[in-house]
Amino acid sequence: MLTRLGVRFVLAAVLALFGAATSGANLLYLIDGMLWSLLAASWWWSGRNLRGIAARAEFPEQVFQDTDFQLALFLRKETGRSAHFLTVRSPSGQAFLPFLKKSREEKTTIPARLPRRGLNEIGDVWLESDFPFGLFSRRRRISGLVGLVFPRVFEIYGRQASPAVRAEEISLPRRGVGEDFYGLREYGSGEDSRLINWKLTAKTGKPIVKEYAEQIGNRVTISVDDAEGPEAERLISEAASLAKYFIDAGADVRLKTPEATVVFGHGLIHLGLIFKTLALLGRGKVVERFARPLPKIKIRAFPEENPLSLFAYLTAAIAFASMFLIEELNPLPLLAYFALFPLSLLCDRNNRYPLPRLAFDLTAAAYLLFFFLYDLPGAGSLRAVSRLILFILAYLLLTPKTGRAPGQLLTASFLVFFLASGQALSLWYFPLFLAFFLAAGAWLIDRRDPRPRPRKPNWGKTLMSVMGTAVVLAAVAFISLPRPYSVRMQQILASTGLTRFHLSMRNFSGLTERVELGYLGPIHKNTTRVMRVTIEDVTGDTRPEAVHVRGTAFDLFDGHRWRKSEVNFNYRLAGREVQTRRSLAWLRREQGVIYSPGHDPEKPSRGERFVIYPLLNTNLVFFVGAPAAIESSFRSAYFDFTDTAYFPGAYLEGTQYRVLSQNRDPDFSRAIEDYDRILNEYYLQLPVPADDRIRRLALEFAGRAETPRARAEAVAGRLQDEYSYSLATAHGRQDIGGFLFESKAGNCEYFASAMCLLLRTLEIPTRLVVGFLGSEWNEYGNFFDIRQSDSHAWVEVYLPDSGWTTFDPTPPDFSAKGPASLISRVWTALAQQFEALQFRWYRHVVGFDTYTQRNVLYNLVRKVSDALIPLILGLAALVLALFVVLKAGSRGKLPSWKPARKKPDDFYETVLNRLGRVGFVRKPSHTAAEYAGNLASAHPELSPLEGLAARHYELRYAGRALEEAEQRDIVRMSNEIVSTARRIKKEKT
Amino acid sequence: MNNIDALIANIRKVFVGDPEVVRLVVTALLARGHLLIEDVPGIGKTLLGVALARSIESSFRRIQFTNDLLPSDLLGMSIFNPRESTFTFKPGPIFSHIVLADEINRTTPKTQSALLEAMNDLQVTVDGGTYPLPVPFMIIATQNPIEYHGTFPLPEAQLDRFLLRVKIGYPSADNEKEIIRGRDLYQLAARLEPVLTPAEVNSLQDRVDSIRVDDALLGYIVALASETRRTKGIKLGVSPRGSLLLRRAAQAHALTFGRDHVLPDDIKRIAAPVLTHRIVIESQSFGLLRIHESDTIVQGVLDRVPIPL
Repeated sequence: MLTRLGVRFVLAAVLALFGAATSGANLLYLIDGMLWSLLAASWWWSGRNLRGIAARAEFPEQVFQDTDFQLALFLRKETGRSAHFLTVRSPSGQAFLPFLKKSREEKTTIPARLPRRGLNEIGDVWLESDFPFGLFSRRRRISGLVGLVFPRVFEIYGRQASPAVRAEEISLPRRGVGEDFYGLREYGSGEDSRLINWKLTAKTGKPIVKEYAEQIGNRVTISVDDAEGPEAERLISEAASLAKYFIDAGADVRLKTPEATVVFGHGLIHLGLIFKTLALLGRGKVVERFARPLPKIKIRAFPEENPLSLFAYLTAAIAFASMFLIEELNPLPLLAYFALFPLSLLCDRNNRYPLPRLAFDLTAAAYLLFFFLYDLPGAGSLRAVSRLILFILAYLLLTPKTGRAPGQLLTASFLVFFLASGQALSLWYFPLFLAFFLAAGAWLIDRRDPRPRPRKPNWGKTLMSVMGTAVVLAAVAFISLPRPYSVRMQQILASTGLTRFHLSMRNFSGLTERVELGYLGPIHKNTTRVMRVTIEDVTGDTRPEAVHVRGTAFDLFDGHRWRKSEVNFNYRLAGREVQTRRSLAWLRREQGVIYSPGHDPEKPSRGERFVIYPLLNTNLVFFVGAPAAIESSFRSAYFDFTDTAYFPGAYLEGTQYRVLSQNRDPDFSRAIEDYDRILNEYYLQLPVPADDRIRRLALEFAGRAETPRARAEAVAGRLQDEYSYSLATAHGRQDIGGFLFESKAGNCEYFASAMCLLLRTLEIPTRLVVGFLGSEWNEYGNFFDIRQSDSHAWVEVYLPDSGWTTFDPTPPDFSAKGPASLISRVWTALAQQFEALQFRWYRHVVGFDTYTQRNVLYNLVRKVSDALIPLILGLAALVLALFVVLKAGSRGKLPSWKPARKKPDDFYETVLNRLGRVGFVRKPSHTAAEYAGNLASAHPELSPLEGLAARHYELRYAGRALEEAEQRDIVRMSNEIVSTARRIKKEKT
Repeated sequence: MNNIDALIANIRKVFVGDPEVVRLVVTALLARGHLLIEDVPGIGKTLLGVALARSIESSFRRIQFTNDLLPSDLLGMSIFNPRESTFTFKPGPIFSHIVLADEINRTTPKTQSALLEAMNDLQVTVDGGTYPLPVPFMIIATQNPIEYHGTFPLPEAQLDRFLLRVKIGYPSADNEKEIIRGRDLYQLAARLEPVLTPAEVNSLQDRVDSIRVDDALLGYIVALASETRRTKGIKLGVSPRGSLLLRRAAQAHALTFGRDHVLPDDIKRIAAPVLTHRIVIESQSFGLLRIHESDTIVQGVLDRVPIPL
């Protein structure tokens, strides 16, 4: 049964699912997975907590009809782990047991009351637990609580006659002249001197009187004639009351009923016997079950009196710390906020608050006004709501706590964490994520532990197990939750304003058409998937390591920024001369295909399919080879002299197209008139003033290479070898001189720019190309996944024999060059590890989507089918072989499986086990010597066992050690004994 | 430990009954405990006491308990000495090493408790003076379980003071023949040669505590005790004092065999004599039948509790 907290949990999970589905933010999927997993783990553990608890009831000695009594329950956890937080509930009350250690009996008492005389079963005692997190409250009825209830007893005044009673005579025992000795006392003056016992008087020197008890006839018989009729209950109750009255008066009472007779007796034990007999009369012998419905109790997750535990503050603080991961937020005001936590703790511990309650409420009202009237319309829903949630958290922390505060604080903390999950990307999220759920879980468990602090919580291990289970489940849920990501979803998202959850692209790696050195500063990796590229006829085996997906190219570099020059030119298209308009060359679609001027129907061509995701806000046509023709839904396209192609409009909602690419040989560009002039005019431009150092460096790099190709390869090689790749802040703000001569480290734009400059000083035409370097192969779909983080810059060099040729001077990975100290090496290694971890985090967690999901599943299925099927077959064969061997060995009799035995402590136990298997089983209550003695007297051949038992005793209880020779002796003896025993058994059968 | 064997052998020269009984008597002696013999008259209770006392070179008294026996008859009293004008303490029959309290249930509770106090404290206080009892000191009390009329049965709390309750039982046919052969066994017993001195007995008693008891065996004792508290038919189980005395008795029993360690067998053998009179059973019966019932229940407990190997 879901508790109120459980309902809240489900709501939060649904909210997280909605947020995740609409925003596609994978961290929301992560917390959603975690919430569902916690629900599942909690359900499972709560069942496990209650399972295997044996209950035994102990009724008080005397239970009377319709009278409250305390039922003692002995609970014992027999299987599984120790149980926590058990509530024993009945309609009359409840008892709480915080901890039940495994296989230890704990006693608890609950009030109970039974309405009927005789044997009754209490059927409305329940064992209930909401362990671990209070999300589910599960219960189990405790059965078998049968107890005997005595009839109702009322007070009797005077000697009332009742048809049930026949009293003969009543008197109290008193002194007199009887036979039974009563006591001794001193002689009092005036008494009859005959009473003096002279013997005693002589002994003691004082006159002593010996007294005897009077023989008395105080005997009462109570009879119940009718134990079945309508009057029976009244009669029995009266009989019980009378019995009590007479016993109290000291009489000997006899009970006569149609079923049984209790002989004369006195004293309370006798009374108990009478009550018992009366209780079992007639219908009292039949066990009847009583069960009243349990009154509905709203189970509060947090008991009213429970103060906030330290975990509450910890949970809120972790949630709050997650806000720092949102890169768009200014961390400074947030830092000031952190002072709240110690302050709140201090206030709560001392129960003194900075402001009266009224002032807090007025502030809250004022904030709400501000929120609705100013913040929400002005700052947009996301920012306003974030601020509101932070305000609520602060408000809850600083105000006096009521009974509802813990729940509210938990909700507010969750919302803060949720907010951060929607917007954060950093790898640091993950430890915070675990810490948040751990702290919240610990809080939820801790809340029910009423024992006085300080104490060591004994649920720590359980919490770890539950969390472990939940994390595993969450990982599975994260991987398998469907990602319904579509254009339609985007539209829903836009209408709710939740698109704001998406990150702004500034400062994140990604394709940009503005290449300016030092403009971006530090670059964060963004693994949003932007497109996928299928190269036809390429499969997993024939795929290239990586593809350069060309976006746009630039010709003009002013020392800081790359631009395109305005170039108008003429070109031939389908035999016609066409002129560019505003430096753009337009192409028209004919029969569904847009042909480029370089298209040569005679040459072989290769198809490339592109699926562009909506996030890429551009109108560039991406391609890998040289685009000879484009098949798309657009009616036209245009290109410029840098061989960059465009569609006429930006495809905001994504698009698909197919490019037919051909080899980019010199002929491809010949369609443009006067191409050599353009080449030399634009692709050899150098920034002014020319830097002499660059010329010298270029000559040095080129070395003895003569041909343009050799020179380009030499320059690229030197850059790759001697410079290092870096996304660090310091390396993002330098200029090209700083990169080449000082830091020798930078991002790909620096490498590409440097290579362009160096080659241009050697009179080789070059241009800088921006696009994506795709290397992530999707096995399932046979395509390359391209993400924003794959964006790259490289160089195209015009070689007279092969036309524009791609060179990539960027080293494949960043690595420290040159000699370094141990610390810096370790640091670099750590940084690399972190970088790699972060990369995995982005790629596999933040950037997880439907395609990756399918890819993962596809790979999994393939691996499983590749590896598991032979394994299963092999195992099956093995089992079969074993079966056959065993069957042959045991002549058609298979050994039966026996539960694993405890490892024997010493040789005697081993012998006993072996003898037990032969058929001579020791009774658990027989000692070693008794067993040996019994066996020896039954089978004298087995008498050596007695010697063995004696040895065992010496070893076990006298603390003697065995010598080696003795040990061998014992082994020999044991074997003999066992074989003798086998022989005896065989002879018998 | 030949001297314990010698002691047992010496007693058996005149006591022709069950040798196990002799061992139990010696066990009680070594454990500084007292013995309650609950059996029919005429089976050699006095003989056993006399033989034991003679064998350890100790004084022996037999006190027949009657309903007019007073505490002072037992403990002694201060008597005025007119010549010196002082009270002189005249010790009663209890000032002996071995005291046979015959038919203890015949006397009044007052006298019973005077005896039991002496048993517990090993000293006697009369008229403000405290007089230590001789060492070793041991009471062998007998109760006649058949005659019930006009008796004051020892209450359960008082029974607890006795370390062992022993049944002697009728002798076997051969033994009985031996008894009636014609020798005067009492005369023989009175002339027995001592084999131990009281000092030696005392040092043996000191050794009992150093007998090794394995942890598993302590666990077994506790298991037995808690089983008596759980068992159906037992109204009141064994008290922790009962389990403590069971350990001590087992140690003494091990010592009678000359061992310096307790075996499971010791505990199992001694458990019934130690435990049967310490439980209160729910049955309404009395007398021999009641004793028999509690024996059966304790035997059931012993059969149920697994014993360490």
